Amino acid sequence: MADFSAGYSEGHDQNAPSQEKRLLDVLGRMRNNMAGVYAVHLHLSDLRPSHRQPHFLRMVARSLDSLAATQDIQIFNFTNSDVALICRNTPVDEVDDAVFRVRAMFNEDPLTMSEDGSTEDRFSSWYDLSQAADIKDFMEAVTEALKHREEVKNQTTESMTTGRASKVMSGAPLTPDMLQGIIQRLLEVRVGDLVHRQPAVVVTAGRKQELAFREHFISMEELRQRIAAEVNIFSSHWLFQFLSQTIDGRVLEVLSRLDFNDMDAPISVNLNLSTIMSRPFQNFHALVGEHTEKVIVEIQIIDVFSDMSAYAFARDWLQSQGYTVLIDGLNPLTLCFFDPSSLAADYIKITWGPEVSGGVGTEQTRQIRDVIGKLPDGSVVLSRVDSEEGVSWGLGLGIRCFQGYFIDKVVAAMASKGIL
Amino acid sequence: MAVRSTSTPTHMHRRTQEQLLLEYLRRLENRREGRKAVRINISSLMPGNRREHHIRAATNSFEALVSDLMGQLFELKNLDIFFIYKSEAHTRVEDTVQKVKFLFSDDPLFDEKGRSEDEFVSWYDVETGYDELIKMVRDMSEDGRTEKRPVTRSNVRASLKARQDHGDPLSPEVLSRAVKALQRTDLTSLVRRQFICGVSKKLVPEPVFSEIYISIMDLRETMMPGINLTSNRWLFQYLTESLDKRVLSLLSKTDRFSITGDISFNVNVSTLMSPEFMAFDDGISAARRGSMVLELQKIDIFADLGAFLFAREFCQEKGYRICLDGLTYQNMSMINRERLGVDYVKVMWNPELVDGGAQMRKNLRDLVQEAGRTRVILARCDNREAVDFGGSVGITMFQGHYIEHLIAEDDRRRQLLKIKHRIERDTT
Repeated sequence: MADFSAGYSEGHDQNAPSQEKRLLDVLGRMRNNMAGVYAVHLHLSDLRPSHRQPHFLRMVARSLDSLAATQDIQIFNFTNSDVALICRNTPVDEVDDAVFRVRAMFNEDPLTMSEDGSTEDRFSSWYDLSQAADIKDFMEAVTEALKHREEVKNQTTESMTTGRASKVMSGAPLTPDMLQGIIQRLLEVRVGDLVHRQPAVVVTAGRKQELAFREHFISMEELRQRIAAEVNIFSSHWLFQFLSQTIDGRVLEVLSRLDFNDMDAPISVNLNLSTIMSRPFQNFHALVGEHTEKVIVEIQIIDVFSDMSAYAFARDWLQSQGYTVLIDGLNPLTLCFFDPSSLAADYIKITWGPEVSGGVGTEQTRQIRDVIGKLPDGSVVLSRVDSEEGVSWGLGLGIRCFQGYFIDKVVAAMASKGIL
Repeated sequence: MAVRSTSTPTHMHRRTQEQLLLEYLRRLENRREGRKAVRINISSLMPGNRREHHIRAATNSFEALVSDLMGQLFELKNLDIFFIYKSEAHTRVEDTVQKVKFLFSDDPLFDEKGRSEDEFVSWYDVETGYDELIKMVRDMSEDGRTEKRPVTRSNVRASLKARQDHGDPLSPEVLSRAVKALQRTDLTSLVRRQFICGVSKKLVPEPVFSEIYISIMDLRETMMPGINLTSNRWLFQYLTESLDKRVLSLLSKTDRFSITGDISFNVNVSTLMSPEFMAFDDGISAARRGSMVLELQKIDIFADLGAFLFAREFCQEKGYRICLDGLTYQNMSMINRERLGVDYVKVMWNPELVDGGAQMRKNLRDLVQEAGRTRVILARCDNREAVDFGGSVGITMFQGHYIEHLIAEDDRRRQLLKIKHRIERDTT
């Protein structure tokens, strides 16, 4: 998770002229002496938001630093995270190598999927500044970047991480000395009104939709506003994970008030492995009684990886009691790196995101299809589906269960027609 | 998970767990200080709760303790579980027993308040109750019958005392103090080194590189006596990020801390992306980067896969090698090592690898084949069986107490050889 307070441009004077402006000045001064000069524009602003975080860009800057030290090259870091290189009499191969190194670091980003150096290469553009037409094009590109400066600055970003902590937020980074106070408030504040429900639907063979379950979750942003508005509680994976243990207990309290006798579809809830072995869950278990088949327990993949034995233990117990086990926190990228079938869970939940918008034919998608093929039919849930595109992508891969903003709308429409 | 006899291969018949337990206790005769034992009376549960997967779940929960060399587990004929352990692990054992109890909480045994604890779990102090224990286990192994619930009241007192000795779990306040203290503490004296070696047929070790690490036990003693640093894994994980930075600063001060040969050390992905790592990287030569192996934990990798892939590319490009640490028999076939693009993978030795039979062996052989023989390390090897097993599936690199023992043996042999040559030279 990003440490957003340590900004990429830390130490930069807000009032100093922007790098875009400076570049335009440099170009203006060089205008009459452009022999042997060329420019490379790295379109880092088109990377996925998670790849545009400060610590990534810091490392890009370092990769390029070696160029600046040894060659007649100037580097400009734009506000929108693009980078421009102005090179004079430098062998193209040397610059190309450096650009390729940066490109390789973003291998998993759709931006680098296009072939390097091809006309449809969206990662970098090269300009021969000894040519008037190229100068004009390049100046336009820089001016464009300058224009977007303010806009980009105010843009809020959503990162594509695994886990519940999906929003990059502002505020001071969370440190251990804040934890106790936050936990205290967490135990005291009202949370019932922050627990939201989101339906998941399953598409049956006849293209009919049925309600599969309703996830009950706490809105983290709302919770943060209530307990620590000035703190970015997601700045550390581990400290957030620690807080979530307390959050679990509060959510279970709220769920204990549900009437399990009168429930048209199962509920799902995200819990830590340690919670499942704790008293709050035992109390909840007692209230659920014989209705365990109406509860799906969602477990985060990093929790599973942190203690496989504890996971196997909890899974066996949950399943033997009649609960359903779902593994959460996967995305299409993680599926290319590990095979969840041996986790023997009832459901696997994958987050849909822009990284797979390349379509069903890509190499990555083929791998995902392989992995999904190994899982029992109907056991994959595609979440964060915010458009019809997500549903068709999923259906193309054999996924039949969906969740997300788009599904919310579908369900609302179904409800108004009385289908649900 | 069972204890295997590697020292006496002449025994043709397979000995029972009761016999092995008795042997094990006898070997402890002169080393019984600080040992405790617990017996979980699975046999007192309803038959429906004594099925194979229940027992497996119960024994698996001790797996981490066993692999941390904290104790030995025995599964008795009547399905009872007997665990002998070092008292420093008492809190962990209590937690584990609690989990096991929870697994069976629907059993009628737990209906009556107060009765369940005595019936289901018996605690022993090996040090003070040694003779009593030996007698009980001897009875069990001789006639195969079990004696019911030999509870000693003194155990309660002993376990209370152990908890007091063990101190508090790691809390946010303590973590906060620890992180601040870490910045001031000189860790040089806490640095430990363990070699990753090739091992020849004659058991002669050949070092490939060495892992540099901070002893968490000693760190605790130095900085936070009485705090159980690993009691909460998320807070501990956070602590390791601070530790990383201290290790980096130690490694960059080569004048105070000189290490020969190629080295490896544990580091978090977040550390690789921090200004501290950039400064470290600035301070060392390209040649030295090539001599370093960065060990990353799988949990860290999967916490933010995008960040890992990015950092891996950056580090490998600079010349560092990457090792995926912490694979176990449970997850090794789940992870696609090839796509992760790491230089080495480390698999933790566990007797389950042998118990898993042909399938487990095949999984591991496939892993070695796929990754390459020179890329897989079998770590935590604490006996010869580990090395023999590793060799049988094609592994060529080993690490652990047993390897350290081989190195010491080898050193001793060389010393003797040197003396012998000197004597020969002097006498001729």
